[in-house]
Amino acid sequence: MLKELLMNQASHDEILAFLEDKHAYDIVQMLSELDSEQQTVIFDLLEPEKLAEVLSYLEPEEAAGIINELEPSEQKEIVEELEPDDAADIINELPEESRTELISALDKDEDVLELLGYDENVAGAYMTNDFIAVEAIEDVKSATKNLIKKAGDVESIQTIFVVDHEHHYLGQVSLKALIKAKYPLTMSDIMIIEPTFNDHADVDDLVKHMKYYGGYDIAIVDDQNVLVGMITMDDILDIYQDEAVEDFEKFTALPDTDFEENVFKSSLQRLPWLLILLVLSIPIALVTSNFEELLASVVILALFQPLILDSGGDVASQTLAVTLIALTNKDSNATSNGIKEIISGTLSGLVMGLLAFFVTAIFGYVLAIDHIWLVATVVGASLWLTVILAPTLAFIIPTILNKLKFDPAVASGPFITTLIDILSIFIYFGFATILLGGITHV
Amino acid sequence: MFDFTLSTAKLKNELAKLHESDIATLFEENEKEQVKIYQALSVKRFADVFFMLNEDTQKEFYESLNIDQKKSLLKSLEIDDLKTFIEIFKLKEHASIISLLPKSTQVQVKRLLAYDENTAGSISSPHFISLSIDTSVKEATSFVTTESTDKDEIDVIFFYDESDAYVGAISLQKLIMTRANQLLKNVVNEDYPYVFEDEPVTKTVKKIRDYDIDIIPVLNPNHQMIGIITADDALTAMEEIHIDTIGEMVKVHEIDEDDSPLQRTFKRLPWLLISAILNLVIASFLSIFSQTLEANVAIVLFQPMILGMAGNIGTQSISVTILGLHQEKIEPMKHFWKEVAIGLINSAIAGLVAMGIVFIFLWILPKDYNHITELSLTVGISLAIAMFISAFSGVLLPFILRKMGADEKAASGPLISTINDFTALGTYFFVATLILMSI
Repeated sequence: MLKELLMNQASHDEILAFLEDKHAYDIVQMLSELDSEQQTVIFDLLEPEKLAEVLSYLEPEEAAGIINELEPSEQKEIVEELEPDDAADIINELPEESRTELISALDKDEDVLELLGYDENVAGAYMTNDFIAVEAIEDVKSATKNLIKKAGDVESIQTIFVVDHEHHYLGQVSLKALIKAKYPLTMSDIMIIEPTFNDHADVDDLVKHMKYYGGYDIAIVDDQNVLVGMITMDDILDIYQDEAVEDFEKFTALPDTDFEENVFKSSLQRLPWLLILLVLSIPIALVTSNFEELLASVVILALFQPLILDSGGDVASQTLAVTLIALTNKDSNATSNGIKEIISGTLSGLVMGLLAFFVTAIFGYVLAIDHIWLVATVVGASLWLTVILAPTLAFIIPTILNKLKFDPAVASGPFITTLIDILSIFIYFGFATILLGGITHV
Repeated sequence: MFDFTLSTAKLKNELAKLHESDIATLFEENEKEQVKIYQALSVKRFADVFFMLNEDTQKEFYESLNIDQKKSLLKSLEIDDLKTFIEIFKLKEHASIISLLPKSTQVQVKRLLAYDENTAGSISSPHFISLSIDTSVKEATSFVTTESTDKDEIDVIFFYDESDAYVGAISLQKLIMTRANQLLKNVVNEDYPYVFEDEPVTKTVKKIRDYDIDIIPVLNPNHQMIGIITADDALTAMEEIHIDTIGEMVKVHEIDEDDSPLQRTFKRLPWLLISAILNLVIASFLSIFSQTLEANVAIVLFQPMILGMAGNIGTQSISVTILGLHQEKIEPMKHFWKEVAIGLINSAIAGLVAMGIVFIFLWILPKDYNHITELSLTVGISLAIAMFISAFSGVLLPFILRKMGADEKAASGPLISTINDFTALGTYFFVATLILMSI
């Protein structure tokens, strides 16, 4: 629609009127349909306040690109209109020079300055320091009056934080609780104490925290428990989403998925993983090469190899998934969970091993193969052992990684299953050599 | 360690210091003290804790209560939470639980239960405030502060017109800042986003995230509001979708940590056995290639490579497609052709690299192999073909499943991967027969 307006040479006033009550997100969608010239026209047209809003809905890199094109005085204006956390994200994406210039141009008490110092993985980098805090002794009536006065300056008054003289976190009150409270109650009477989070703590731990405690506007405090910022629900949803997608990608050996990327770039991004996995299958070939005589005389072993490998992979993936989820839950007992997985593997393996044993025997009978029972035993026993080994590794490896403070999701499915493949081939051909070795022809 | 020997009053004090989630953990870990905790908490507080418990604990505890206690507990739950609770039980037990509810609640719960799973309606809550657009600012503020119940969400107030159709919304924040002499008509945001009751949950979650809102209204086909979904609900939904997606891939549904090993085995064995049986069936079909295998045992060396790589690229394709579908970020046709192109490129490159690696490998090994070149060629070509087929079907399947109304995540399950294996190995042995048996 915006596109049509521009094509039909609509006047600036008409365009502005059209954009007036559109949500910033919708405006961003409409902008993506325009070419860069048209986009520049729109950006020049918008008032700083509206422009700031629109920029906050773009990816920080894109927004930084646009801001970089503006005059320094305009840049300052925009930053002042932006929410501090959005401003911090965008400023951090600016090229070095522009960044320093802009920062020195800002007023000394500008909220965003405090946020720029944080590392990108910590809670501080995600928080906004634009919030409302009242002292515990204040009564609800005067607090509400104060609130209404400040309401225009702050983005969200959904949650009002309660602090002491020195700005230490004491509790929080939701807007709806405040509105309904009757005088002469004080803020400390109606406040709820919610768990807080440290500004330098890892944002991954925040996800764990939220899964356990549920979602709410969370107070971010420093080491002295002084309230320094908050992370609101909408940011929490975004954080969770990014984390979930990242976990999923690691689990399936995908790189950072960008749906906008062109074909060649996407191919090139996935290729390293594929090639690494390709190279990893060489050790498997190496192990197998030691058993060639055996294979030549008992070809049926080759046909059942996929069964052993696939089952190992299936069970390993299951345990891996369960372990990863347990490791990201606060109230999980990952160890007891792991042990249960291994025992379950033992039980499943027994059933599957027996099944494989009998089917192999029938198979061997029908194809008139020699030493049916030995072959069947090899297949059945290997399957059983593999299905015990698989969950053991799939549990131990991510758990160790986690203990060493690495992200356990790095131990993704394909890597663990390749490792298990190598070991299960040893088992398979090992058994075969022991039981059938005597009968191979050279 | 928590001291349960305290008097009820003292216990209540101690518990008041804890977060509901922590009380819930305490509850689950101390079965014998559950009644004590129940008695020490107020009805409202207990309802909050109850909802944090895992499903088995909820069920068991509920069943241990007498009729009056049951009624009181049910009454304290919010209606969407009530619906979630009832769904824990088997269908035939629903009626008896519903009969314990007050009449008006019964109607609302039944309505929620009637929605299809995964629709916006099914996770909506009727605890919202909606007023006529002609209401004055004063009336609206007064209604919100004095007449709304504890369960109602008042952070966003919704409005309807004469025909009851949804018009727009205003945040509580904005409402209290609005001067009494202004008309709500002029202040209300008519562009406030909404979803329809039978739109998928993924779409709802995406809208909440895209527009950064805390509450989204749910409308029926007549544009009338029938419920709301909060950002908190969205977070819960996101967690479930995430676990479901991974769960489908590995065929572990309802990941419940309290399951004993035996229970886990029972739940997973069916699929594992089906997988194993399919594998055995494949093995029997592939036995027609026995001659080729006997004559060229070296082929077996690279069997895992073929299977593994076909599997890996297939997983990548399927996962990217599922991710895209969930995030509603892709256009089917464009995505399809893009993935096919990626599959083609990567399969070809992998095939070439494999050819080289296999050649070097066989050459370096102290053992003497015949026909190294032909073998490398076989592996390279089969790998490329097998990988491409796998990548191709990996993109196609989720779309087909979605079209058929089935869950697209099932594309990642063992059935499909076993069929992939069949195709991959079949290709391998076939190409091997062509190249190596004709020498």
